[in-house]
Formats: sequence, structure tokens, C-alpha cells
Amino acid sequence: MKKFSLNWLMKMTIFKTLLKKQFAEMMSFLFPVKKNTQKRSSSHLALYIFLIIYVVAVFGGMFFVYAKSLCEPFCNAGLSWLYFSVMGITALAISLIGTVFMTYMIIYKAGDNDILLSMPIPPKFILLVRILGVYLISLFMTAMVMLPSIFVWIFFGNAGVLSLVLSFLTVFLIPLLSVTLSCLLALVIAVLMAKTTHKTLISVLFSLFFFVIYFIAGSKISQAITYIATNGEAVGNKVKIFAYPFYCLGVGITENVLYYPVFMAVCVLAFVLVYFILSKTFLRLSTIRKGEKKKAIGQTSGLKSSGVKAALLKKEAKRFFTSSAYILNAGFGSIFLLIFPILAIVYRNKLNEIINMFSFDITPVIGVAICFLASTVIISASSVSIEGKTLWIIRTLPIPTSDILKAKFLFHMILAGAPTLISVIAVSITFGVGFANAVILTVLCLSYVALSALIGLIINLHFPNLDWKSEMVAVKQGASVILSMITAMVAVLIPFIIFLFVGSLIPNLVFLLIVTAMYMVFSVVLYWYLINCGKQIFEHI
Amino acid sequence: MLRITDLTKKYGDKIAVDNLSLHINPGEIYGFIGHNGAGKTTTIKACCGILDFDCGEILINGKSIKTSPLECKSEIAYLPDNPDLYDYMTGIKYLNFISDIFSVGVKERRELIEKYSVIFGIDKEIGQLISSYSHGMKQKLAIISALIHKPKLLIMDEPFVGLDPKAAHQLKEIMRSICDDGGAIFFSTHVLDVAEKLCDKVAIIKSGRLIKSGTMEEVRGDDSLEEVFLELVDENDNI
Repeated sequence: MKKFSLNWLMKMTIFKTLLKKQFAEMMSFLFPVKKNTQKRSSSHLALYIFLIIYVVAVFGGMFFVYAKSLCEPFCNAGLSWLYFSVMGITALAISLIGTVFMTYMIIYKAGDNDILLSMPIPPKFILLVRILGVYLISLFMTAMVMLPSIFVWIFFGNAGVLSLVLSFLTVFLIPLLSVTLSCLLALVIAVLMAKTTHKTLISVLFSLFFFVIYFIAGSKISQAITYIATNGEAVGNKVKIFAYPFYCLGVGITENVLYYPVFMAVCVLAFVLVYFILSKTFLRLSTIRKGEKKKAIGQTSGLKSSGVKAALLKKEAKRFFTSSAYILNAGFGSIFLLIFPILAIVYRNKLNEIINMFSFDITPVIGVAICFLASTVIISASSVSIEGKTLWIIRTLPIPTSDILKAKFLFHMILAGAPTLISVIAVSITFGVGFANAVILTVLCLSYVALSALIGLIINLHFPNLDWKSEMVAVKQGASVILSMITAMVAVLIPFIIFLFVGSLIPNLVFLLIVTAMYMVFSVVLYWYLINCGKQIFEHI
Repeated sequence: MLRITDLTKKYGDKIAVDNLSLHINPGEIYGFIGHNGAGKTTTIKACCGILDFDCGEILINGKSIKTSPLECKSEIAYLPDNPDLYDYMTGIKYLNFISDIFSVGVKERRELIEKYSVIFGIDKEIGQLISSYSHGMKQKLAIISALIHKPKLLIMDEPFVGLDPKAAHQLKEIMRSICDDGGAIFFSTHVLDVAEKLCDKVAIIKSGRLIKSGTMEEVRGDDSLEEVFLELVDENDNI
């Protein structure tokens, strides 16, 4: 029997086809086509282009200022090389932030992996094309940092033709390093996921870990920039020791071109090595069966019965806690609410100073802060969308629609309300607001949680998205999530802005009571709407 | 048991179901056959209360699906053609959830889960996440979830797709026993052999219209169901 083998031409054709497909996928993600039309409307396209230009302008401007703050002192101190080293490390960090979470999903959890792997396509081609997708995203982020820095170099540095050529080449090399690191992490995650049944926990822990790092880095960034700008020599020594390739990058561009190939070699070789490792494990890790448990039939002995409402609530909880996308995108605010009292205790004196500076009373500020954090919990805003293709199950069961909606509302209340309660009590005690104020704050914040839960659920009823392949689409994208977040935040901001103008005219207690009453009234109205009109909408989705 | 009267459903200008009338009595297995896009799934979904309809009436044991949906749904079980189940639950948790909704007692649900999971051969996988199931296993789990609350009317959309021969045979036996106990089955299928052997009555639908219905003998006559079906469908094309 003849062995099927691909000749060089076939391989090139396959690779080009895969590239076209990948590009089309990225375009459809960035510029989605409306369901019933085949064309993207020109207004949507214009809006997206405007948004991209806006993002580029804002971040480009930001990095331009950052680059300028480093270029001048380094050039004056005779450390021009350090400028490119630091900008290179910054670009690497930024592009890592942009790609580290998505690389695992893009490479190992792509929806068409099974179909492509069943075709005569070498798995390493599929892998390479997916990595190329990550590379393009990384390139965009690197360019946002490096291009402004190159412009700064042109205007304020000692830019020669060779240094410009090498600095532009750097824009294409740094993403290779970023992709290498992201792919390594993706491999670690894939291996862990293959061995564990607690996949959601692993995802959430990884995300939490990176979030903590980003938070710490973010809180120290301005100090770091000042330190770097004023301690060039010390920073330079550290770069030489701990980030030698970036030392070679800087020296190669500014002083001695023979150093540059070292940096280039590190970028390319590291990428090639990681690609080689991934290509050896890609087939196994991307086709591993998920969620296996070894349980015998004896499990029926553990069965318990619940009422309908409890069963619905348990279903909502199960849905939420088994989805890392849902937890991280919609429920992270609950963690902020629990962290807030700890931060309030640690930074109590600083916070008091700031508040005294503006002559505010602490009580309303606590209310605003906690309500604002609660507005970041958007569980209900995707609780209808997340049903997706399984909506038929609850639609065909003898469950009153109002019970279904109440369960979704209640789940949001529990997951946002409990941390809110803890947060209010802890912060009230920390700042000694007094019993009466603490009680009002508690009622105010919990009323707000109810309001935001209802806002999210009602908006999702009006803008459901049931046609998703990835949960990310249901919980992160779409009008419902964005509108719910904005509306919930506006519901906090409006009273706050009013307070800024009239807060000095009426006692704080009275103002808080009025806001609490407003939240309660709106909640009652929206609850009525949910149970009556929302019910009709749900039954016709 | 199930009475469909002058059912009409439109999607914009397209008439998916046009004045359809059917009557299914207790004890009957009623087959519903037609080409792709004929309106079978639309009819079935309307009977289950998932899809609204423009005209007509659907009564389940004398109760209207429009005005008394909960009462109707408590007596039926629906099995879709491609059951998307809760991937994040284990098989047993899913069955437990369905049992909770129908208030099936703990002892009873335990017995039925054990019984049906052995019958359909998924007793070893019942504790695993549904996300790890094959299509056939999901189909079997969906069937068990439909049977666990002992429905009076079982409405199924192409139930034999994805089932292995043994499971298909078991399902046919269960269908027969439900009808022998006074229940009824209404199912759509493309497999005319199965319809011929299993069904007491059959309805043939084309482009949303009922073109023939009755007992198997009345519809088929001396020919096979396949011959009759093809002839009727071609005849309607020529009209």
C-alpha cells in the first residue's frame, strides 16, 4: 500500500490555506458580521477603525511620554543603550500581558482543532498558524510601545540610519520572545489541565496569580519609572546581569552592531526551541478528553432531592463555578469586594488624608466605593446568554418562568451581596462610621446590589446571545454585558455627582437615606418588570 | 392525548407549518415523517411549548400548551434531535436535576437511574462530566432523563440518530411498554423501516402541509412505507 505523503507544493498550499483561514477568523472576531446579513455594515467598520485609532492614539501617546521621560536622562548620562533595553523590556511586558491568557485557548482549545487534525494537515502546521495568530497580537502590542520610542529616539536621541533599521527590526523580534514565553505558559497549563479534573480551579488560580502580579506592578509603576529615570547606572548593571539579551539589544542599536545578533539569536532560537517542544506535544494535548472522573454506579447512593427553586439555584451555581470564563469575567468583582476591607485597613491613613483633603465625610465615600466595586459583578448580565444551546432544557421543563428568572437574580444577589455585606461591615468598623451610618450603608449597598442584578438580567433578556461557541463570547462580549456595566456604574455615579454639588447642603445621613430609598424603589419597579414583562420576553427568546 | 388543530407557524413570509391537524390517542406510537425542512421539528417544538405558533391549537390531555404550559409540560418529555445538555454537570447530577424538577422521590429516582443506565449501557459513565460523553452517550442520557419522570406523552425528534443497535432496540421496547401502559409517543424519523415496524399511526408532512395520515395499514396499503412516501412526495411536487 502506498504511503500518503505530502510534497513540498502540497505543504505550501495547505499552509497558505491555513493562514487565510486564521486571518479570516481574526477579522471576524475583530469585525463581527451581523447574523442575518453577509456584509459588515460600513458604519460598524468605521466604528471599529475609529476605536482602533483611538486605542493606538491613547496608548501610543502614553508610551511616547514614557519613552521621552527615559530618553533624555539616559542620553545625557551616556547610557543611550539603556534606553532601548528598558523600552524593549517594557514592550515585552506589555505584549505578554496582552497574550498570556489567550495563548492557551488559541492553541489548545480552538473549536476547529478536531476537524483540522482529522485532515491530512501536519499538526505542526496547525500549531504554527495558531502561534502566528498570537504573534500578530503581540506584534501590535509591541509596536504600540516601540514605535513611539523610536520616534522619541529620532527627535531626542542620536538616531543614525543603522540604529533606526535595527530598532524597527526589534519591533518584529520582541514578539517572538513574548510568544515564546506565552507558549511555554500555555504548555504548562495544557499539561496541568490534562492531568487534573479541577480545571476551573487551575484556570482561576492562574488568572488570580497574574492579576496579583499586574496589580502589584501597576501600583508600583510610577515609582519604578522615576527610579529607572534617576538611577540609570544601577538599572544598567541589573539589566547587564539579569537581562543580558536586552543589554545586547541596547548596545547593538546604539554603540556596537556586533551585539545585536546576540539578541536576535536569543529571540529566534528560543522561539524555535519552544515551537519544537510544542509541536511534539500538540496532538496529544489538544485532543485529550476532558473531565474524566472514575466513579462507579454506587454514586446513586449519594443522591439527594431538592425543591424546584433549590434545584434551579444549584444549577446556576454549578454553571458559574465550573466556568473559569464566567468566574473571571463576571464574578471577579466579588473578590475585589473581599479584598477592599483589607486594603482599607492597610492604607487607612492614606485614605483618610485624601478624604480630608477634599473635605468629604467618610460615610458616603465608603458607600460609593463599595457600590462601585459591586457594579463590577456582572453575573446576571450574561445569565441568560450563558444558557446557550441548552436553553431548551429549562424551556421544556414544567418550571414557572418567574422561578427561572428569580433563581438567576438570587444567585447574583448571593454572590455579590454576601461579599458586599462583609465589605460594608468591615470597612465601617475600620473607619468608625458609627452604628446608624453602618446600618444605612448596609441597606444602601445591598439595595444597589439588587438593582444592579436586576439591571443586568433585564438587559440580558432584551439582548441575549445564545449562539456562541466559546463561553467567552457569552460572558464578555455583546451589548448586554457592556450596557449592564455602564448602566450599573451610572447608577453609582449619578448620586455621587449630585452629592458633590449638594452634599454640603443636606446632612449625609439624609442624603444616604434618599439614595437608599431610590435604589429600593427602582429595584421594586424592575423586579415587577422582570416577573411580568421579563417572563414574556424569556418565553419568546 | 395530543391534539393538534390547524397549526400554522410562519417565519416571516415562509410558512413552516400550514394548517396541520393531528390526533394521537393514548396507547399509540405515532410516527411523523417528511423531508428535511418539511416542518417536523417546528411542529414538535410547538407541541413542547418551545416555539410559539401563529394559528391553531395544541392540546395535551385536554389542556392548551398556550394557556396551561406548565400543566402540559409536567405530562410530557421532549427529546431533541441533537441534545445539548449541561456539559458542566455529571450524568448523574443532570438526572438528579431533572428528577428534582419533576419531584421524583429519591428512592424511585435511584432505582430508575440504575435501571436505565444499565439498560442503555452508560452505568460506568454516569458519574462523569457530560462534556466527556460521545454524541450517542448524550443521546442515551437525554433518553433516560425523558423517561425518569414517567411521562404520559413522549415527544422525540429523530430519537434513533446516534444510538447503537442495542440501545435503539432497547428504546423501541421502552416505547412499546410506555404505550402499553396508556402513554403515547410522538416522534419524527427519517428511518422509514423503523417507522413501519414500530408505529401504529403515521403522518407524512411536506413543505409544512400534512399530505397523508392514518394507521400504518391505511397509509401504506400494500406497498412499503418508503414507496408510499416517495410517491406522495413526488406527487405533491408535480401538483
